[in-house]
Amino acid sequence: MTAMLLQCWQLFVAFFRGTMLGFGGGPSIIPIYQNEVVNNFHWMSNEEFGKSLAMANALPGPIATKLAAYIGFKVAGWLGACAALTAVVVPTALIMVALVGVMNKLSGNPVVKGMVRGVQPVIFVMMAMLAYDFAKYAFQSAPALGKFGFLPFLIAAAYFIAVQYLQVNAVWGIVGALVLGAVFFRG
Amino acid sequence: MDKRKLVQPYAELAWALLKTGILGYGGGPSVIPLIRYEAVQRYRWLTDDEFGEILALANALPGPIATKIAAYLGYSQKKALGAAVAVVAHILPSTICMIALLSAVHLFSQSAIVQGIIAAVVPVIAVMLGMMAYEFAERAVKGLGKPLGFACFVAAFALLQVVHLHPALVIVLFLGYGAAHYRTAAWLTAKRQRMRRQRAERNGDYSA
Repeated sequence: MTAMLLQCWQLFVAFFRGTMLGFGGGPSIIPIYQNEVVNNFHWMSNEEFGKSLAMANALPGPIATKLAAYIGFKVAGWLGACAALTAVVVPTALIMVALVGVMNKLSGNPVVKGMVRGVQPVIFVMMAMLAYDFAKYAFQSAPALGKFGFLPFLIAAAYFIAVQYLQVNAVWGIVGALVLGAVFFRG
Repeated sequence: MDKRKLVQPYAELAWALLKTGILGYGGGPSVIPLIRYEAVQRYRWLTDDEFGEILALANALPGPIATKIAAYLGYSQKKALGAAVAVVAHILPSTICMIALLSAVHLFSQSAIVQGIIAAVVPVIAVMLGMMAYEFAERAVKGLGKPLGFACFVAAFALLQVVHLHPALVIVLFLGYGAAHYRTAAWLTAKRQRMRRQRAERNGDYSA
């Protein structure tokens, strides 16, 4: 019981810290959560985090709350999911409601605007590093596939072309990759 | 009758945000137009301009944007309880789907098909993260200008990968710089102008 409560507290701390540092909406939070979940608390491997992220992207609704709920659930069951979700949603909701009164001053404020801009280079570098990690995993799986070794590259290229140039919704890109995997990647 | 009047605002909040939570694919940005439609056109909780202001504030604060907007809409209608109803309605269906789906994947993780599915998603994650990274790079360069933007990339990379500073610390550092960014930029321009003016005056003196 105490171990469970400790885990819930750690979940709360991790997601509170991550959310408070995530300026600029959902996607900017992803590499920060990854750092908390994989590097700080070792709740998941990098690969497992990536899988959760892909699923979160394939389902509707905000990404940060889906990630937090699943990771919380995995660590400490439903109570853990609640702890993580509370940390993501409640503090920011309180700040939002509290600041609506001084809103006009705040959203045009050069200090706040500068903070949102200043943090973007860091998010870029963290996100790019994460992308690099997953590109590496994809290359590593190629030799084991034998004559289908080209498939990871094909999937990556096809997803990029479909989403970037053909305006296909990312959801269909992910679903398509899942189907290809179910058919061709079997041991 | 009285009872229905009491429940109706909560039901409207819950329904509007439940719908947008289920139909909004692809995270924050895709959901905002849907919420705007419900809040401005359908239920008329606020005007389009007000919604724009709320969105600007939500953008300036940390954390996911859709949940902050949901909390505000609920609070503006029915205070704390309204905010709770709105946020829960918005995130609950996708949360339960996420937990159920990933638990199912975990349960069948020995199956060859599920392993194939998981392997196939890795290259997609790489491309997805790469595209998101590119968007942030684009925004950073647009917001800070090319020279400063690239200097910041190099500095962030060095701090994270070479010095191995804790990422949270790096973020706080850059937030700190960002807070002073406009003042620094204004000071630099002012200084440059002052120097130009002095030089012009000096040149003027010589010619006179």
